[in-house]
Amino acid sequence: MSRPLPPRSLLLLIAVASLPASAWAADLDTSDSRESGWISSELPEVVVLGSRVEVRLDDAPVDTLLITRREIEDTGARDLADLLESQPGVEIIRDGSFGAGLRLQGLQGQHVLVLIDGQRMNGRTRGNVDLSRISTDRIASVEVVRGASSSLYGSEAMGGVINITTRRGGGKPLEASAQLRGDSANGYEVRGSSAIASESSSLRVGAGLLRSEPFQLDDALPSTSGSARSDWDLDVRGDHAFNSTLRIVGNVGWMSAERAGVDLGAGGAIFDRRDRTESLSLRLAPGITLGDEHSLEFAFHFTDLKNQLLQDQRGSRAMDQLQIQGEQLWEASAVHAVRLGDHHITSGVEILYEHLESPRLNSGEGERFRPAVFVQDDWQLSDEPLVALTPGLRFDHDSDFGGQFSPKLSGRWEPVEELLVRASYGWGFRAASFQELLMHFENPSVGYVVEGNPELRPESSRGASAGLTYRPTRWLRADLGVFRNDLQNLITSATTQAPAPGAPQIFQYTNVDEARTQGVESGVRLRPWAGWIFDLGYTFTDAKNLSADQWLEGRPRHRATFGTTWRAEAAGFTANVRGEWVGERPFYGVSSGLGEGALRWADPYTLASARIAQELGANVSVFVGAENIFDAGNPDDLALTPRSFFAGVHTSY
Amino acid sequence: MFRRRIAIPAIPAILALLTAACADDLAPADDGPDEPEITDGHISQSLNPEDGTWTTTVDATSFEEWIYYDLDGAAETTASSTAWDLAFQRMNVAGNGAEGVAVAWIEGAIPSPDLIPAEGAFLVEPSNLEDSVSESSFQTDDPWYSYEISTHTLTPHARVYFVRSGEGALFALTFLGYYDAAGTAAVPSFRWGSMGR
Repeated sequence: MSRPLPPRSLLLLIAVASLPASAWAADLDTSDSRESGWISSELPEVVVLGSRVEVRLDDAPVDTLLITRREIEDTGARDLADLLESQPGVEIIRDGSFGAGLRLQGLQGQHVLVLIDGQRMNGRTRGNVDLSRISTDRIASVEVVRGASSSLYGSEAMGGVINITTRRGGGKPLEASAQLRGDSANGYEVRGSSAIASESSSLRVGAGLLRSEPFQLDDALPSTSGSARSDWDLDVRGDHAFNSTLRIVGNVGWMSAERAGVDLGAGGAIFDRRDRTESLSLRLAPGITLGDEHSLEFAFHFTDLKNQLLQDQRGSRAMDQLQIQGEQLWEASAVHAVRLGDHHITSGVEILYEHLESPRLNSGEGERFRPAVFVQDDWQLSDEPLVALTPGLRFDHDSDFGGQFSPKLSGRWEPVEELLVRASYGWGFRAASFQELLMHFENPSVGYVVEGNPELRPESSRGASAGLTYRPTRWLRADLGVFRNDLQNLITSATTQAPAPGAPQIFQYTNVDEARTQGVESGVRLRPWAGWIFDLGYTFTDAKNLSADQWLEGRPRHRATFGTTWRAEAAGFTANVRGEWVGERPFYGVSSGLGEGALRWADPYTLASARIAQELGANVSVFVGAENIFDAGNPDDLALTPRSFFAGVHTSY
Repeated sequence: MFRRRIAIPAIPAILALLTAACADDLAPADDGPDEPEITDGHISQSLNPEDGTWTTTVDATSFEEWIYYDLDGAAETTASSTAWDLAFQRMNVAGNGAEGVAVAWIEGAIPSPDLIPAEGAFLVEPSNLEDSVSESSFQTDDPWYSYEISTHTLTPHARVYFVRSGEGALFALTFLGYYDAAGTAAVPSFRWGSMGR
């Protein structure tokens, strides 16, 4: 499965290594004081998700989980999926074939909007954006808002929104870094970045490649449990302030992510599967500052994505299949923010155009146009004690299903300095995807057909949440929250033709009448001694398909997360242990292995990783670690990479 | 100045990466035939010298076309010929009821003259292929195969089918499989031989 490094790749490595390279250092410099949204901050943290303009974390209208660059580096996570795996309230779902998706509040990946610098990520497979496509080296910070957020973001923001802010130059006039990492599973990663900055401008170039081998959890089968990875990415981000009023930010990003594995079909047919996604993304975002509390932000965004899925039957071409899909996304937005007395008003317009060409669609292509307007007022009713209300409303008009209103009301109250109370109620919706509306997809290797359904209505939700944040001292922060989402018209695939010999099983997407997720999320962060951070989180999720009176598949009722970081700053030493314990998960029907309709609870598991890093002088550090320490995973329902050890070196200038 | 300083480090890296990254589109390997490996029309077969039986494999991959086989002549034939005894389409197998082909079956894997069912057990096949899926002795609700729903895999039952041909000869037939060596579906194979008259 592995391929030797091509000569062109060697050229690349030489070029990257020769970069006068450490944007990492810049981010470290600016993020030393940064802490996660789960703990009290030494300095104000800035987030954008809850209001679409930058505000201090403590002033965000909704509870926002913030993961900083410093924390990202401490974990040693390679990609966004690895990074989010141990975060409270964020579930990462591994699909052995196509990558990693996520759940928020028991809602699947298609109900979570993923943004990069505020712009939508496209290229969903089975509803999920593959989070393993995003290298952590590109990320300056990650914000997560759980709960319905369609009042600001429109479609898909039913379970929540994730925003990835990419890194920029700016710490030093000239900086660069390079990193090499290898692991015991014959995987390796090479990354490099270079940044340059002046008083008014900065520019950062980052590039990397990652290769890993496939893995097999059942040696008796010729098929793989997890795919090989072969990823490249290149990012250029620049910004320039023309004067104190006008500034502009631009990004160009290119990436290729390939997943390769072996599938076993009916009758012993063996398929070599390669699934390659390539994308080019452009963003231009001019911003105008009209006064201290008055701004206008524009953004123009384009992504061109190409996906190739090859299923190559071994020893024959009779069932070979190659499907090439092209997807273009255009977005333009203008966001106006102004403070008028006690009101901080954000309003904006947004236009989205999507086009998809795919042999999997009945008509071969589909397109969608969706303009939207939104407004949100963060109204501070009282200073002492703090009482604020944030009503918001958005209207989307989709070319497929027409108009959709999404209101939301959030409130926060700080009766005493140590305690912050938040609550919100909002509507969410998700427009059916092209695939769900128009798909015709046959999987010859397994023997099923998926049919789209043009009659689908948009999914909708009503989401409510309430929570407390208690910060009695600088070394303790505790969060406790409850949530509930009531879902209507949830889209799911249902069997319209039972499998029969020689005739494939046919699935068609339908609107399930009603579903519900509700639960409790809690987290504690302790910093008892200098350099030590302990995190504990627990989530209870009750997720049911009310129409079928069944659990929503795969959702654990109980999940705990843990993390410990020790930074001995003087010695240049950092240690980090993190992970999650996931309780029993329900599966039904054929996927339960017990026959139609039967319920099976998959065993609990613990997924943990550890990493230590030691600085060697001012410019070099080395690190070693282990992933999946307890070797969790099984071929039936948990395609996790087996335990592996890694080591690497990082150099910065 | 600013632009020049950026360009020096960035351009080689960008060019190198883009060059390396422009991979060719994916394409299936040229690792076998487009269709199941069949030597003669839609049939591959060989004579087993030790007992004079035949092992016959049929390319029945078409969803529309039936493949016709004459047991008396041990050869593929056509729909227009009245000589055909058995027809194959995907997993469907049917006898030529219009010419009086009749079928009976027993559990087991090894045919012998002692096991030939009584004449009354033989049922004449439907005269119309359209009806065969539900009415043929190879099909009905207890077909010649078992079906594994989770993997969509067909496996032949251990059965001996006795087929009285249109010309009055008796043949015994056991199914061996439904897939070719590469796993392509709808390639049934069976071993068969004459049981006299």
